This record gives sequence, structure tokens and C-alpha cells, in this order.
Amino acid sequence: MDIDIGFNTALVLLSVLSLGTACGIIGAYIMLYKKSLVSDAVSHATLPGIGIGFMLALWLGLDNGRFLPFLLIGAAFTGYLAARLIHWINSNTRLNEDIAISTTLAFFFGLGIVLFSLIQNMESGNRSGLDSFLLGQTSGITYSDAIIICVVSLITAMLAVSLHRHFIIQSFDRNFAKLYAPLQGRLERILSFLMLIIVCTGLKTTGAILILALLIIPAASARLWSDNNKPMIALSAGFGLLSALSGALFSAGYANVPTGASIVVCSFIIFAGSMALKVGSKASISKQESTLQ
Amino acid sequence: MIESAFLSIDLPAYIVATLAGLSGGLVGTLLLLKKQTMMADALSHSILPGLALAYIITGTMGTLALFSGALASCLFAGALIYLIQRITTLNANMAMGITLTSMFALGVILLELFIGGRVHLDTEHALYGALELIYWPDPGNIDTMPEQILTLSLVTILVMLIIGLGHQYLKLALFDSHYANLQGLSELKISALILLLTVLVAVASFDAVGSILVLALFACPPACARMVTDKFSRQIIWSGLIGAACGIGGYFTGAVLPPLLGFENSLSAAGSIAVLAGATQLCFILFAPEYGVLAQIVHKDKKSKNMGQ
Repeated sequence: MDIDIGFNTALVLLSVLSLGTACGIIGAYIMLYKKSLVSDAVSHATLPGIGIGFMLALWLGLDNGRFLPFLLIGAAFTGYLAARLIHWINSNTRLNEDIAISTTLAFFFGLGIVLFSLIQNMESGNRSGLDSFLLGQTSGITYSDAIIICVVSLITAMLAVSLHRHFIIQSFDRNFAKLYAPLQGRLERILSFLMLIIVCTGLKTTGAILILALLIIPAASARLWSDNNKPMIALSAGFGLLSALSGALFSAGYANVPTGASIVVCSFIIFAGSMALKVGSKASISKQESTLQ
Repeated sequence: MIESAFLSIDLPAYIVATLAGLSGGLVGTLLLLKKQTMMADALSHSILPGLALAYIITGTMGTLALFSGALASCLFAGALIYLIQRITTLNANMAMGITLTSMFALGVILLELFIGGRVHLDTEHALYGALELIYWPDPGNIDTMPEQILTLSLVTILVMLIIGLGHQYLKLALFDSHYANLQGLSELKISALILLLTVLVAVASFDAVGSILVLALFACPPACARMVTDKFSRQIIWSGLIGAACGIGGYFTGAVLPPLLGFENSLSAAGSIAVLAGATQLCFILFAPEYGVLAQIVHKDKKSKNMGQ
């Protein structure tokens, strides 16, 4: 395995590291709110938005359709719609959240696939640039892309941390939060907004499907190490960073492997390791207890 | 000439789409009542590494090898989800999220590293489905029948048999698990049975709609049925019928309608099935006679008027 840390690799590292850290932090709050699968639906639902953005840009003659701001705005728009739709179905019909999430996910993802096939058929359209939004691609990342990803991730992470107290209070005690927190009611929306921003930021590097892993797995691993919320969130950020680093290096070594997928596998290895340690410590504790008795 | 094109291309696709919708709708009802529809999403994402491994180990694209590979990796995923919940304090959603993303990523890596476009097995296939590629060279001749039709019919018959013969037990277990436990129907066994059925349907319809859009067939038809009925037997029948209708209608709008309207190319059939299923569900949510959103609003108005008088 031969890794040359050239300019390009440095850009990739800069962007995935900041993204991994930010996802770790936001994912931890999402886990506390038990909204992990909503982020699954939202990330899949960015797909039709990318298609719409592409067609709009193509129609306006921008960049042959691959005009990043349009794609990302479209992605954020349909992702937001999906989040609202889930909330609406859940609170206005007899269907539960589980079915609301799965039907919304399927509908939006199907719409995205249909739009992609439409684009493929259009005369001047070429889908090849769009497929990378599904599984992520880091090879084409430019200096300005990397800077944007880095800055946006850092800002979102800092916003989330600055609301730490409110998030914690509301996720642990809703009734107390009603009395206490001035932001109550808007907090959940703020969190899903932050999640949406980070999902859209990660679209280009990790792809719509696998960004979910960065939001869930580091937080889950951290949860195994600590019952205390501050260390858990710090650990989650650390695990996000670590899996992004190892995943990006692995994918740089084997050029064929999509970066998103290798980051996910690395984060799963961390999770599996944490779980094994947990089982081991549980076993040793019960052994000690039995000898004491 | 046109007729034979219909028989060898459109007809098998219609059959596969219908069967996938029917079996998905039937099993989806069980998942809905167990509040585990996302489990179908997790399991269908887990098909990919199984397919890749089966190809790497056997070196063939035979249906049997791929089917057993997919089955094995789905069952592994199910066991992993169960294990994570047992060992840690993480809830079912987290366990599913962890498993589905990791399995899918593993599948992508295996495909890229070891197979890399050498055979017709790629991530695109998994995402978009390949309903359009099903071809029956000699329609009517059982020997040349596409394997997808055979596997899906077998799975559909199995699902119908199990639900038809065991619906009393399933109903008991789904609505009153404690009492069912006393009667010797342990919850774990029922969960495992539902899991197995889900995996079978997901793997068999993988070819038709791809691993992610299979969720549309598991989720939307039962949700539609839930909006119009409170009876278990009606729920199941409605759900199966709506699923089959979505399969037929989706293939028609995606693959057949655009050329009829004069467009040169057709749309993704799997995507159209999902969109149609979602749109149908939205209609049911809004317009269902008793539980629909509009009906509820009217109902509320009447109530407040009565209160005023």
C-alpha cells in the first residue's frame, strides 16, 4: 500500500476529517433525541433535490448542470420536505413514526431514481457526475470545495455545541424543558436543520446513502463508553474523526474503493471493538461478583 | 412483432412486479403491526455483501448461489441487529442504522475491490433495480422462463400459505403477545418467522426493484390498508392487492407509458413503482373515508358545531 500525501489527499483529508467530527457531534444529539432513522430518510430524500437542481442548472445553462450550489440547495429543500412530511404523517394520521419514516424514504428515493433516469435520457444531460452523490467521490474535490466543507462543518458543530444545555435538558426531560428552556419547541427543528446542513455538506464526499453511518455509528460507539453526556459527545466527535481518517487513508491506498464506504467500514470496526470490550468488561464484572458471593 | 415484444419483455416484467408487490404487501402488514417496517430497509440493504461474497466464492452468477448468499447475509444482519440490542443499551433504531449502513458499505467495497464491473453485478443494479432487463426469449415455454419469475412465485406462494394457514396465530401473537406466550407461541419465534419471510421477499424481489426501493413495497401498501380498515384479515387483503396494483401500475407508468406518449426513452421502472406507491399512500392518507385527514377535519367541524348548539 503506497500512500502519497499530495495536495489532493490533503484536501480530501481536510474535508472528511472536519465532516467526521461534526457528524460525530450532531449524531450524538440526534441519538439522544432518538431521531436516528429520521436522518436516514432525510439523507435518502436529498436525491430528488439533486435531480431538480441539476435540471434547473442545465436549463439555465450553468456548468452543464453540475452547478454545486443549485444541487445542494435542491438537496436541502427536498430533505427538509421529507422531514416535515414524516412529522406531519406521524402527528396527523393514525400511522406511527416507523411507517412514516419508511414510506417517506421510499417515496423520495424512488422520485430521485426516476429523476436520475430522466436526466440520463435527456439529450445534453449526463448522469455520471450525479452518481457520485449516491456513494460519494473524493477524487474530484477542489480547494474551494474542501474549504467550504471544512468551514460549514465547523460552524454547524459549534452551533450544536453552543446549544448543548438546551438539547440535553429537552431530550432528558421534556416537561422541565417546557418550563425552563426559552428555545423549547424550536429546538427539535433546529437540530433537524443542523442535521440537514451536515448531510448536504457530506453529499459530495460520502454520498447520500452512507452519510447516515457517520451520524449514527460514532455516537453509538461513544454511548458504549460513557453514560455521561459531555464525555460521550467528545468521544463521539473523536470516533467520527478517527473513522474518517482511517477510512480516507484506506481509500487513498486502494483507489477503487469509494471513500464513503471505507469510512463506514472503519467506523463499524470501532463500534465492534467497543462492543467486544463492553462484553468483556461485563463478563469480568459478573465474574468478580460471583467470586464475592 | 409488437405482440412478441410485449410477451417476452413486458409480460415477464409485469408478472415480476405484480408478484413482488403482492408478497411485499402481505409481509409488510406483519411488519407494520410489529412496528418494524424499517427492519425491511435494514435487511434489504444487507443483500449486497451477500451477493458479492457469493460471486467471489463460487465464481458464478447462478441464481441458487446468489440467492443463498443474499439470504445468508440478510440473516446475519438480522442476528447482528438482535445482538446489538441484547448486548448494549442502544435501541432498535440505532441497531438497524448501524447494521444497514455497515453492511451496505461492505457490499460496495467488496464489489469495487474484487468484482469491479467484470460481471453484471454492481451498485447501480442494487440501487436502480433491473426490471427492464428481464427477458423471456420464448414466451410460454417453461424452460426458458426467467428465474426471477420462478423464485418470486415460489416465495409468494409460501408467504400466502403461511399467512393463510397461520393467520389466527399471527393475529394472536401480533395483538396480544403476552397471551400468545402463555399459549406457547413465543415472541422470538414469531419475530424470527416474520424476519425470515421479510428476507425471502426482499431477496426474491431484489432483481425487480433493487435493494432500497423494495422498502416501498413493504411500507406503502400496508400503510394504505391501515388507513381504511381496522380488521386484520381485511388489512392483509387490501395490502396485498394494493401492492400488486402498485407493481403493475408502476411498471406501466415507468416503462410503457413514456413511449406511448411519444417520448423516446422510458423512466426507471423501480423508481416509478416506488413513486406510485408513495403517491397512492398520500391519497389514502388524505381521502380515506373514516380515518383520512380530510374526513377527520370534517368530523371535527361537525363535533364543534354540535357542541355549540
